Amino acid sequence: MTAIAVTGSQTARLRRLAPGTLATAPSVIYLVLVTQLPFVVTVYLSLHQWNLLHPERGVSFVGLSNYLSLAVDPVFQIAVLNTVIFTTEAVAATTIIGLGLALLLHHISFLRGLLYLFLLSPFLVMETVAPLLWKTYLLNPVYGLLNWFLSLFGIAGLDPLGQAPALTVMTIVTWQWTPFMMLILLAGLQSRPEELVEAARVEGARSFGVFRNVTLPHLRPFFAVGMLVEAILLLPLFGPIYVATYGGPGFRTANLTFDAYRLLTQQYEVGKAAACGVVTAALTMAVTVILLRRVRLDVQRS
Amino acid sequence: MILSALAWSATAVLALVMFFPIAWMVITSTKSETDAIAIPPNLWFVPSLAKFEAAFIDGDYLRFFDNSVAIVGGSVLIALALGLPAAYSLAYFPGKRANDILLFALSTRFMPGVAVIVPLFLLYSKAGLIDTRAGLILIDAALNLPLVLWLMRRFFRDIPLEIIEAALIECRSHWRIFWRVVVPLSVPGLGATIFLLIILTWNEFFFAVNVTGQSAAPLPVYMAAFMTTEGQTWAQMSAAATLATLPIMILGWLTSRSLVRGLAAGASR
Repeated sequence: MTAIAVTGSQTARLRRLAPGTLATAPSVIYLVLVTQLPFVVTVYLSLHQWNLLHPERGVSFVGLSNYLSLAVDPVFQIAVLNTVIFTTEAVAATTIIGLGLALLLHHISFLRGLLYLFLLSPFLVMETVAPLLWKTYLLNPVYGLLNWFLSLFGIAGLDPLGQAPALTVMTIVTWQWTPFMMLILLAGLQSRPEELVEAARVEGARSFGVFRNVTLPHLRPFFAVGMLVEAILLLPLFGPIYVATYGGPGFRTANLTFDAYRLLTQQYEVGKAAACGVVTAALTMAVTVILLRRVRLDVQRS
Repeated sequence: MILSALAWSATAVLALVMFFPIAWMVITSTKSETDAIAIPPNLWFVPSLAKFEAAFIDGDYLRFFDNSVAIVGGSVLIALALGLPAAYSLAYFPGKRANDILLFALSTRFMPGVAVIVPLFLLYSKAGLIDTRAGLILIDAALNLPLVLWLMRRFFRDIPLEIIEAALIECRSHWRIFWRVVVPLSVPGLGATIFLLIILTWNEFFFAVNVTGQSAAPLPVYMAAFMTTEGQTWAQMSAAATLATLPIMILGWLTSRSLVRGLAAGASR
């Protein structure tokens, strides 16, 4: 991290006057209390059997049995698979569409500001409102615009939420998060050194050649950062699943977060819900480590 | 020429497609319930604000709105109170551990909610914090704090070090330098940061639905309750959704440029 290094002598002179740890300690302590400590307790609880509906059974240490019983639980298996699929699909789709939109926006000038605001807007919609808009106006089998539109061409009505619930959830998430990727890649395009583009043109490169040899390499770190942040934030996706399908039908769209929510608020299985939380954290950490290594490589290369 | 026209048309069409659900929400909120579900869609109707009035008078909208405002306000204030001094210190007096502190803060922001919700839920139940604004404020403040540290440290660094140094030699009180020099010089950055925190906290759902209920729930929880609506109340739902979404969306429109510029510059330094 060179980000923090200032010229050495200035820092040294200033440090003598530094406010001390009193300035940073409260923040660190607060974050430890509200996020780290609960996580440690989550790990502890995940090794115990504790059902709030049966307080008479008490709390007992059961080792890894919560994890083992989750591993053979079909709902949990679906949840793990869905977590991986939803995250991968959303990151891939938003990256491809976001790149297209960023390139288009970068290219045009007439009404650019307005079109930019239109394209940005889905990202600013409340995550419990976005699925409402889709499941009512657009996709409702009886009153929805999709089926009315299809009927104009004599095509029979569809029920996307009933027939392809996972695909519908992914579509909604992609709609919401594409602007995020577009934003990041647009910032990347705007920082592209124009001398390089000119130089490539002078050497006779066509538009596609410039794109492949200049633009894409320049965008690499922006792709990496965008995909990393999006993967970390979408892995524990909750609102759209809760509102669009409530994990259904028959848990077909439950992911890890939804499964933990179900175990805690419907079955009151504290230990199992905690184990589910630990698995989610472990998965997030794995994704972070893998993607962060890629980010470092990209930053070093550029 | 032709290519440019094509690119522009494609952008315009895609922008309208992406924006359509939002536009339809606003249009539907001014319809009657009958027009709201008319197929083929009825575009020749007399727009009315009746559903907005109903949301304020009959509905629960105001109660949830109050909760949202209190929770956003409280959590942003706590995050600023704790985070600004730390950002000041990390910006101008980065000790050996500055990197560690920043990375630690970021890692807590990226911790999935389910990894901490179980003990928080149990503790809140015991401590009487379930379904209170204070309970959710304490959690949301922890979500906002890392962003204050990262963004404000970055914005503080835009002020030349010489200014801070000169001020320090002159008056030696960090408190006064912070209020008289640093804050006035970083108002745009502070504004952008506060707006981002407001947008994120306003829309936060996971913790809200887990630790609040009837009395302290904010708007995302209220909106989620419309998930079973089956055609009878689309206009009413649209009015509530518009009220919950539009103010934040306009805030986002106004601040997106300065935020992106700040973040992009922050990433490259």
